[in-house]
Amino acid sequence: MIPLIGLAAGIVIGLVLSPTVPLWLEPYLPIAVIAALDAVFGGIRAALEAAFNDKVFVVSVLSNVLVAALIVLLGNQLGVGAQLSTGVVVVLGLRIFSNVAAIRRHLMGA
Amino acid sequence: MSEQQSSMPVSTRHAWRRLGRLVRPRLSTGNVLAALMTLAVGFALVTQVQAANDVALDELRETDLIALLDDVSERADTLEAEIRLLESDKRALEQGSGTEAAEAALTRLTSHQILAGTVPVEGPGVTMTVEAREGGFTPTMMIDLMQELRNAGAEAIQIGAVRVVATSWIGIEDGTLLVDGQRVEAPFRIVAIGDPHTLSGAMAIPGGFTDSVRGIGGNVQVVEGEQLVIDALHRVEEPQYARPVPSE
Amino acid sequence: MRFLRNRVADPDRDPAASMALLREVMDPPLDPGYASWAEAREAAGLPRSTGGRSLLLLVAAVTLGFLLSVAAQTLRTPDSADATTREELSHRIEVADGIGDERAAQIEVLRQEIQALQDLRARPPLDPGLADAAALQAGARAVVGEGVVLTLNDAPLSADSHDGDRVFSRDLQIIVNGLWATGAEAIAINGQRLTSTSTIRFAGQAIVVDLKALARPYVIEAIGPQDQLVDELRSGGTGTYLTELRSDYGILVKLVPEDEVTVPSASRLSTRVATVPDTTATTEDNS
Repeated sequence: MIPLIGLAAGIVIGLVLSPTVPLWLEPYLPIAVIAALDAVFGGIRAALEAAFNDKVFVVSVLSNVLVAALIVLLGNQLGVGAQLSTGVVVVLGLRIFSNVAAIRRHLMGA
Repeated sequence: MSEQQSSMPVSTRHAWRRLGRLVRPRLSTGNVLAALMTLAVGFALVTQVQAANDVALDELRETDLIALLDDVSERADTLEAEIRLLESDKRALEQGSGTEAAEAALTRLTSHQILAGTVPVEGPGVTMTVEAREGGFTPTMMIDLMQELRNAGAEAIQIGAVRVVATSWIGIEDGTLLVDGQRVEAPFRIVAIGDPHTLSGAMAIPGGFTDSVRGIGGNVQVVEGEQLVIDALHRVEEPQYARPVPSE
Repeated sequence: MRFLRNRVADPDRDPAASMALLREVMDPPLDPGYASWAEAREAAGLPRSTGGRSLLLLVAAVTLGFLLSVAAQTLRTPDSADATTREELSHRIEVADGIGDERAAQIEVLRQEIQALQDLRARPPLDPGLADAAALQAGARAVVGEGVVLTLNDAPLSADSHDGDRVFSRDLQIIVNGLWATGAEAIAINGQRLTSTSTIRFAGQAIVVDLKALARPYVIEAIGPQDQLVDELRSGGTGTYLTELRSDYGILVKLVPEDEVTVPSASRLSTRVATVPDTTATTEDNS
């Protein structure tokens, strides 16, 4: 429950403050969001499998976002930013879907 | 289910039979649900395909949309003017004296003849002189010129000694430009009847005809005039293929 | 749930046991971090899961939500303001276009009424043959006859679509020019009759004929010598151009010869500034 409230609070803070993101940071946002989502679904699944651990969750969120940003940065430097971003999105997307599948199996048995 | 476990490489007969069992219609909640789902998917698919085929207003940039709105509104306005004209003609025919009716008919006849290029025309407009080296001037440049003049509201156009009408075409033969099959040599002299300011303004639009002629080392001179004459006539041949649709 | 995991992980049952990477992607096990921590805690006699009540988690959740809304806002704000004006513009274009179409239909009706009245009432009578011929030549009558119907459409959308994969107004201009040169007597594009004041041009990415934006596909209907028109569009200069459009840009081209092509009448047919010089009055000139 607490994490959910925290999430909602974060969304509201973002909406209220609506800070201007510096331009150089913008390319990292979509990938960062997807990486964070992946970590979130991983966490939910772990919770359902009675293996949740807050430290692991926080570390996985941070590392996912950082690595995703790093990949985009590296890709942009190498001139294959778009392709690498696509690759990251595909892999993370697959992980999200399979984690959601596991969550579904636990919650609905289907 | 037992079939599946007993033999891994299921025989094709079994597979077919299973497929048949799957295809056979049964009325169960699951089947109905599945049917509804596939229905929705099919509907979405078709809508998407149709949407992709529709006029692509969504793909246009805002500036393009504004330009398009201008065009479309202008069309609605000119058509309204045309309607008013026709309505007054109709009134003249219905209520007016015979002479009024005849006058209206004559005005329309004249308009048609002017557009068909069968009568000489006078009126305000522009005279253009286009100088270009041999070979540099392409047929597409002349097509552009025709389009730009018409777009600026030219009601009659003459290129060299040729009257430009609906069916006019531009060709090229041995490096010489053809207009309606007749050779037209540079420097080209072009007369267009219409609003002089609009016409000369259209010729000054950056990236237009004038720019492309300058790009090949040529020169365009535009002179506005209040009383210009177009005397070239379009020789009309009796249409061999197109016949009027009989009005019901 | 254990059962499901085991079944997949069991190498004896899985024919794709060697495809560890694929399996990892398609059906990844729980994050190893979670698994090992859970085991360690279990060994230490603690519950496997830590539960959700920790400051760390709260901070992480708030940060996540913040990231989510900021990203959403940043990435879509400029777009949305734009979208409403665009929507409004599109709407106004559609409305004006509809009005234009209505008026064109009205003009058609008026012309026929006038034609009927004129036959009855005009005095002194104009030479009806002359009026008819002029109306026909100017494009005030719908005409029918043998000819061709040429349909063009943009290349199907694909990941690597280029701007060149669209039909340009230039393409239509060149095709129409080729058709006139081959003896076409009447041409309409998407039902818009081409007259001596007709324009075909681009407004951004929409093709506009006589100020009306055309919807794809672009249908060019031409009445004229069918065999020659077909030859020109297959193997003549225009044919070469079409082949290029098809092979280089993937534009869809369909040519159908038809015995009954109907080309509607034009709507805009009055002249405003052009007059006939007095020296050659209309009637004298043609009698």
